[in-house]
Amino acid sequence: MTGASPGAAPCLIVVGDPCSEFVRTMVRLAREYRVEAVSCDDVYSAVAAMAQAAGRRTLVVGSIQELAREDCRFFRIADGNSVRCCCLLDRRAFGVAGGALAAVRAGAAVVGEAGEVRPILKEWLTTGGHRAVRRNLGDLADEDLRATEAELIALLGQGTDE
Amino acid sequence: MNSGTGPQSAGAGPSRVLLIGQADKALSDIRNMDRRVFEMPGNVLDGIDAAARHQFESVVVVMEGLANQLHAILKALRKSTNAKLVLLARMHEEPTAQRLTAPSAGESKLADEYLVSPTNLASLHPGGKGERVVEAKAEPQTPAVQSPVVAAPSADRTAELQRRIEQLERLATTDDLTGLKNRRYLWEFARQILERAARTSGRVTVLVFDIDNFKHYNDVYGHMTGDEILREAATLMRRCCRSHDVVGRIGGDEFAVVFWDDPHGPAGGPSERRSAAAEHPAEAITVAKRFQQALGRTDLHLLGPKAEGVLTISGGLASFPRDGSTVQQLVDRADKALLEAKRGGKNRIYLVGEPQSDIADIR
Repeated sequence: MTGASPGAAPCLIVVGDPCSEFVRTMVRLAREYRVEAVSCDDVYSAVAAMAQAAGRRTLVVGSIQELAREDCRFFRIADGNSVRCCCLLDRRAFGVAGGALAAVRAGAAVVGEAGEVRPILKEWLTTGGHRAVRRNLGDLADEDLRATEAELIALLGQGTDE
Repeated sequence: MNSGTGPQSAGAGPSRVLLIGQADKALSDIRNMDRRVFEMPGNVLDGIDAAARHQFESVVVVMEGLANQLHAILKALRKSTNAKLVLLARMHEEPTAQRLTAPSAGESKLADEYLVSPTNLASLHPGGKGERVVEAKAEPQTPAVQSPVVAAPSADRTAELQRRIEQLERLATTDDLTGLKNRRYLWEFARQILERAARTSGRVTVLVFDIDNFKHYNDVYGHMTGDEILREAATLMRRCCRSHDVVGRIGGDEFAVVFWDDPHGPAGGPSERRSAAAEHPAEAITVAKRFQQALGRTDLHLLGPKAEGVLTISGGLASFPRDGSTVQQLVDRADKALLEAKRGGKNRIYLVGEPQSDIADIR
C-alpha cells in the first residue's frame, strides 16, 4: 500500500460525464472545501488519475455503475493505494447490488444521493479518511457499523427508522 | 502496485513491455513469455495502473474483446504513460487500428502503431533494440563460449531485420500493381469478419466487380495502359469506400470490396445504416454508386482525347446472412450477379437474388 505524503494537497477525483449534474455538484463541493477536483469521464481515466495523484490524499467519487466496471477491480486498486472511494448508488439502475457489495467490502462508502457526499468529504478531510477493508465482523468499530448500516440502507433502498 | 492478481515485477525488474487485454489469444508463443520482460496484468484496470506507475518501453493493447472500451482505455493510457502504445489487432480490426494510429484531421492519435495478430513475442520488440534477448538469456560468458545464437544482435541489425519482416508482410498481403490488398488477405479478412458477424448478428456485404471491356483496352492501347486503368480504378474505389472497408484486387481486372459494420465506427448502429427496402447495407450500395459516378467523371487521357466517362464497371453484391454464410458462398453469388450484370448490358451492379435489379434503380 502506498500512503499519502503529509502536507500534500488533497485531491478529489470525480468520475462521470462532466456535463452531468452529479459531476458539477461534486466539482462545486470540492471548490467549497478548497480541494482540487479532477474530472474523469470513466473508470479507466480514473485509474490513471489516481496513479498521477500518488502521494496525495485522494478521494474518488462516482456512480457505482461506472466504478464497478471491469469486475469491480477499481475498488481493489483504490484500496491498495489507500485511496478512499465514495460511490453513488442509483437504486433504479439494474444489477448494481454486486458492485455495491464489492465497494463496501473494499472499504468504499456507498451513498444514495449526491448530497450525502458532503459529510464523507468533510470526514475525509478532517481525519485523513481511509478506512480499512472489513474482512470480518470483529474488525468493525461502532463507527464502521453505523457507516455500514447507512450503506446497506442505501443499497436496499429503504428509509431510516429515525 | 497492488498485490494479488496484478503484475508481480512491475517497477522492480527489467520489464519493457506491458501487455493489456487477452494476449493469450493474440500471441502465438505466449508460453515462452519471459515474465521479466513482458508483463500481463489480469485486468485492464491493473494494466492502466501499472502503465501509470511504472516505466515501460511499450504498452501493447490487445484489441480483441475491447470493442466498446478501447477508446476510453487508450485515452487513459495516453494520459498516464509516455510509453509507445501499440495495438494488437486481428485482421478485421486492422482498419480500426489504422484509424487509431493514423487518424484523419480533427481526430486524436490514440496509438502509435499496430501489429496484426496472431503474432509472436518477437514482433513486440521493445524499442526495436533487441536488448531483451540479452536479458532473457543473460548468463556470464567468456569469449570462448560465445555463441552466435545467444549473442544479442546489434540495434542496427535488429532494426534492419524488423524492416525486412515488415516489408515481407506487406508483400504477402498487398497487390503489387494497385497497392490494394491481395486476394489472400481479402478472403482471410472476410472469413474473420464473417465469423464475428455470425456471433454479433452483424452484416457483411461483398462487392465483386470488373472493368467493362478491359481486354479491349489492353489489346488496343497496350498493357501499360491496362495497368494504368487498373491503378486508376483502384485509387478511385479506395477513395469512395469508408476507411474500414477493405478493397482488394482478386484477379486480372477483377476487384472485391468487403463492407462490414465497424463497432468502433461513427455513431449509427447497423440498423440505421441499412436500407429497409433492400436486404443489403445501404452504405455498400451508396459506395458502389459513388464509385460508378466517380468513374464516369474520370478522364483517362491514355484512352484518347474524349475519354471521360468511357470507363465503366459491372458488379454483383452479396450480403451475409441472406445470400450466404461463408466467403465462398458470398463470392460465388456475387460473381453470378456480376455475370448477370454483364449479360444485362454492362455498366451496372446487380444485387444477388434480384436479377435485372441495378443498384442505380434503388433510391
